[in-house]
Amino acid sequence: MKALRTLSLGALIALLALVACSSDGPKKPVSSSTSASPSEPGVPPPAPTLRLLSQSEYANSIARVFGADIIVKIRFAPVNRVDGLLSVGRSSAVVTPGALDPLDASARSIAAQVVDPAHRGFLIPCAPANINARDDKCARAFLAKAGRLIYRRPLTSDELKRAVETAGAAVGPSGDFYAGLRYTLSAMLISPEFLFVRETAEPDPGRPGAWRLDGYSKASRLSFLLWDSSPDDELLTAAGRGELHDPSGLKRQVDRMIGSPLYKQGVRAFFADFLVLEAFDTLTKDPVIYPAFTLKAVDEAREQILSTVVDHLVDRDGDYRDLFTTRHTFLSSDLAVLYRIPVDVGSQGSVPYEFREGDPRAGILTQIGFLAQYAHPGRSSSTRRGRGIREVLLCQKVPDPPPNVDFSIIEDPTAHFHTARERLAAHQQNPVCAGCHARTDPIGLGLENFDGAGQFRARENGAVIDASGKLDGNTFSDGVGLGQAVKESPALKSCIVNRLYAYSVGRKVDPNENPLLEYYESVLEQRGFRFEEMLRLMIFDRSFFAIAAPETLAASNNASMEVSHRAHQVY
Amino acid sequence: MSGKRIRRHRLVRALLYASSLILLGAVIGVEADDATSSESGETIGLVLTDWRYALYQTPGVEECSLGLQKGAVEQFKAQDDPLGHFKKFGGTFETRGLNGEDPNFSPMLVTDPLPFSELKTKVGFGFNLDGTSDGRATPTTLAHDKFVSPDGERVDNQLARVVGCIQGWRKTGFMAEFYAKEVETSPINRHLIEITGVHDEQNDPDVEVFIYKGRDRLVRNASGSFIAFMSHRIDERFPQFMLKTHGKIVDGVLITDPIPFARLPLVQIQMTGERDIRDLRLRLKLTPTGADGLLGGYEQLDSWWNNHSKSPGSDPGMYSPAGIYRALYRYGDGYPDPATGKPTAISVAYQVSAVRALIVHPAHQAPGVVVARADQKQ
Repeated sequence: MKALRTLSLGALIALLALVACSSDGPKKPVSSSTSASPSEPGVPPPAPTLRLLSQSEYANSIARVFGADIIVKIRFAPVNRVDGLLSVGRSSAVVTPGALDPLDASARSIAAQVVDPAHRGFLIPCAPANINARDDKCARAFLAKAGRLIYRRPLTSDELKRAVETAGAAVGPSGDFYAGLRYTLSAMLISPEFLFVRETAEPDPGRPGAWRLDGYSKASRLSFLLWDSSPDDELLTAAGRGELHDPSGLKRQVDRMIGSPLYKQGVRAFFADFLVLEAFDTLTKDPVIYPAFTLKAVDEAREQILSTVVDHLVDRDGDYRDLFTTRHTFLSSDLAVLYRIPVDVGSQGSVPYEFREGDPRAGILTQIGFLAQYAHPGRSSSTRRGRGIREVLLCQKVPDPPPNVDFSIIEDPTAHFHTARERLAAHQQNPVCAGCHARTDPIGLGLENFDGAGQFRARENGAVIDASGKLDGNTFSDGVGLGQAVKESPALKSCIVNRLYAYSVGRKVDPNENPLLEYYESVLEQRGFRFEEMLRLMIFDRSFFAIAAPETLAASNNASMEVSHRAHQVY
Repeated sequence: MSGKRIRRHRLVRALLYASSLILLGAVIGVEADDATSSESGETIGLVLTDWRYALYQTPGVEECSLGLQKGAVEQFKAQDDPLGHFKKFGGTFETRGLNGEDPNFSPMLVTDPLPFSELKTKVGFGFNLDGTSDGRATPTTLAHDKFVSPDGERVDNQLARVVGCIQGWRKTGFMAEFYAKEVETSPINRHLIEITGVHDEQNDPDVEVFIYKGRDRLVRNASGSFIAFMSHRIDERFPQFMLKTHGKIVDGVLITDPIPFARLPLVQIQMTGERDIRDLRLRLKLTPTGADGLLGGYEQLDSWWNNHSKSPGSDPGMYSPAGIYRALYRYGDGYPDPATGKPTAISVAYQVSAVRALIVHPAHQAPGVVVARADQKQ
């Protein structure tokens, strides 16, 4: 096993320095696959990517391959958020030895469950002639089938041969056929071929000189985007047949995937990343000040955001911009306490809820989750809320505060500031602070009717709260008005297009691609920013699967990249 | 709300009262969708979080003539030849009757060799249930001694004389704390109180009070406090536990009229049963997040004994079932049997605590519908 792990580690390290591409041929413009507009700009194709799986992609992939009753217990090491997305950060992530340990333990646990007596009967397609001896035929049948789903492509003949040999050799010391499978399977599960999504390019036969992702790489890109999981058998089969290179075949699979229940899982994954919802893992409040803000309420607040997103964008097929004004949401028991709304539901689950016209809440900005996420443990924060809106939703950078901020004015116990507006006005007397606060506070003050736990309040320290503000010239008087202003912000549209595109291709957006994003935005401006529309526009765009030719990459500061693209030899 | 609508609402209330006296065993619903409007007043929801005997206790147990009661084991050891009794009848210390009888089942066939420690204090907690200042007999009560409350009121709480010197039922005692935990954890012990028509939480001469069995859990936060304003659904499977009465709020204290006959669900020391209390009333100090106060009335002796016998508490809780059975009828002061003159109930006061709750009425009915059990007479 140690040898296997060393082998996989070596492969992983080699793969980190590997980018797929191969021979030559200049890039040429290609024809549109399905819905390309005549005004669609041509942009230089990028390099293929190598991206670490996310924790949810890992777990969902295991469930995809072996079923949901295989228990996955692992917590991935955190990755850096790059350009607003963890998924982009994963395109430059490495697996350190410390991070490999839990992956190894998880791989062993999963493999042990797969071959245990409770599962082997239906997860392993054959039984050995002698359970105490190697059975290469049966091992080959299992490893070829499972390996294809784990690696998201068929194993090469060499890979399969080595896997079968390893499984057979491992039977010797243990005297157990299934122990051999277990060792081999656990090695596969810590292989970089599984842990990393490695895109592979090939020459595009329809466009001499141009390159494209191969079918299996297309399948993975689609599957992780739409399902947050690895491709299923049907998608891999379509990839193997070349159907994903054909516009109608691609559309058929995309239609199937969007029609699948797993599509909601994919939508949730994007918004969990986009809205920085991993922050809820460590979100706590002072229990004396906010006694109802329990860990369960935190989980339910996160779930409320995602449920609202899925309901609005998938079930209602709504416009993304309306997420900030929708009155529809879901409430669960421990979360409803913070809203002071009675709910007819027990300790588990949630019920649909619609805020009445005139209610101070509408849209996800006024949900407990957003309000509590961007607040202090013991009080609200107009600055954090304003910054959250600027940076997350509008893709605008707000500088970090300097390390020597002078809080003496607002912390003066004799000052008797009643409201956050008064405190921030005093704070902004310092010109060093005023610049950034002018960008955040007029937005965040619109949510001052909600305390640090997101609970409604009309007054603060006895003073009536003035929740008026301004965003990009739009004035508002409260949180609902702020949601409307955010909805109408031009930056909201360009931001979602930018983030969704980066998420879907799994890398940073190249500045050369900006015309393409502007094109998407202009199309969506006409069609509406419905999420499915956004996805289809990008997926069916001629640029989505295009890859730069090797010599182009070499010429653009990628000379050190080892060119390795080749079609896999399918066993 | 228009005047016509107010009149309709009052008419509906009147009809509800009338029907509650007429429609035996029926469950009725009354539309009160404007119950939370400013005209008809606000609604206060409460869920009980603690329930224990209201006892006057001193650290040195000076209020008990012989200190704490002796437990069943000590009573057994004090019998003549306990080892011989054990060899003859087997079983445990509980089977200590002359012929091996268990006092939980045959209390009058078992005698205690050690005396009953009497509650000798004059100070006590409770309600003036019989309306007298001296505890003289009335048509529905027997003559008894009254306690004097800290406020100087003459109050009735004869059950305190039965359990007041039992270690297990005193604060921090085995049964008291065991049951308090069951009040928290068992949904059978989920008691909801809904106060409607509240125009002023400090002083309101006219409110309606409903008691329901709930079905949801209590939740504590990280600091150990019960979380207020949780949603609590009425358990509509048990209309027999739905009660209503009239009340008032005086200086922030809810004071209800007596409910003639109240049945309340119960799990106590792992025994499931129900409390049957006549003239049940509440006196609760309301706070912004909850309430504390007393619940009292005349508890029926048969159901009380049924709930307290057969419990595993006589050893760890330090009491003699035979002793408390006799004390129960010795001190019983309520509703004497016309034929025998013996009491059928005993005055009691329980100390209860609550946090505010959002009470959820059955979903199949319109929002704001109030459900009440019609029969509040035995």
